[in-house]
This record gives sequence, structure tokens and C-alpha cells, in this order.
Amino acid sequence: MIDIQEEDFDLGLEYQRMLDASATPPGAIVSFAGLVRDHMGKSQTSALTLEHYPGMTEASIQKIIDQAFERWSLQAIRVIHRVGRLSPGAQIVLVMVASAHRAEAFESCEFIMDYLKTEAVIWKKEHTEDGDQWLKPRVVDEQRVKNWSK
Amino acid sequence: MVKIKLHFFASIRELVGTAELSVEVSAEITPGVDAEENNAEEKGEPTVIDALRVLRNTLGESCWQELEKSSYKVAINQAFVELGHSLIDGDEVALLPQVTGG
Repeated sequence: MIDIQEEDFDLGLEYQRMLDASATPPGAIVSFAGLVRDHMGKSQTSALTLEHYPGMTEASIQKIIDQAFERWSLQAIRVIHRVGRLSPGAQIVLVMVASAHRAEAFESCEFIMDYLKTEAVIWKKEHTEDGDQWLKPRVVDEQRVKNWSK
Repeated sequence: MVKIKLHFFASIRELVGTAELSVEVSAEITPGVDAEENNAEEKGEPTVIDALRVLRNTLGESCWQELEKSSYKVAINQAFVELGHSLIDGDEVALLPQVTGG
């Protein structure tokens, strides 16, 4: 399930929801929460503004989820991506995966997160004392995605 | 002639100065584009290339050059397409800068 929202999310609540929605109890749940850092480059980050394309953003994330389900034996996947203006320390993104065993939960959670960086239709603008700028894709993120196709 | 709506996001939206622009597009052979991309144009249908030409005329040259510096992708009705893709009335054509989610 995917949600693109301005509101914050509650990790404990999402964990419980995933358990409640499971037909058979999962053997493993792995979750990743991404937070706003206070430094992206040299300047102190005062906030990030995240923009999306309603409809296409959800579809781009669904495609990543479908790929993860094809690649690993998984019971459930939950993705929440926040948009709007967020301050350092705020939660931006949640990826939660339930499976029978830990290996596929760990791997698929990392896979989904890596692809969210390069494929999810979302843009980040960084606000600093020295001005605002739209962030550019990072080579390290592109490299991590390439590694999954080896 | 087809009527379409152009949608702009993030850095491109700020550069263009608006999120949406309704434009009318007609087909015109574009030199320098390979034959495959021109398939739709051979049939006389306007393509994304024609829509970008209209946008270029609307924005003016300096703004257009800035836009061309950002490597953007084009989506029609929320699906990524090549520049030779044909357009029909009511299409939602979006210019998407490089994504930075996660």
C-alpha cells in the first residue's frame, strides 16, 4: 500500500497495521524510516520542500513494489512518502516489508529504498541561509540501483 | 491542430513561471530528428516535438535555453514517452526534471 501525504506517520501504528493485515503471521518485518538531515552540502539545511505529481508518483512507486514482489517472496509492502515542507529531523519516507524470513525482508527493503531515490516521481528543494535550490540526483544513488541489476 | 495542456514541475515549473499552460499544437516536420521519431509526423500528427516548439516560442529563447540545460523527461497522461510520440486532443503533457525522491 502506498500513501503520499503531508502528515507525519507513526512507525508503531504502521507496524501494527501490517500485522493486523497479514493472513498468516510474518516471520520478519523490516522497516526503514528516512529523516531530513540538517546538512545536504556545505550550508545548514533549514528545510526541505517535496513536490510530487499526483497519480504518476503513486504509479512510479507501485512499479517498484511490483518489482520487489516479483524478486522476493514477500507478504506485504508499505510505503509512505511525505510531501510539502519538512524541517531537519522530520520523517520523510517509510518503507516496511513483511516476509517469512529475514533475508528477503532486509534485501527487499533496501531495494525499494534504493529505487525510490532514482525512480519515484518526487522532487526535493533544499532551503538554506544561502538560498534555495532543487536537489540534483546523486551518482551514489544511481550506482546503488545499477548494483541491483548485476 | 490539437489542444493539449502542458504541466510543469519543480525546477521547470519555477523556470516557466506557471504549473500549467494550455496550448494548440500542429504538426511540422522537424529537421534533424531521426526517421523513427518522425513516424507520427509523417502521418501528419503533431508530436511532443511540436509541443516543445510551441513552448519554445512562448517562453522565448533565453528561458528555453535554461530549460534545455535541465535534463527532463516527458510524460503524456502520466506515462513516460519519447519525443516522437503523437499527441491527441486533451493530452496532459508533463515536463519532469530529474527526480530526487526517497
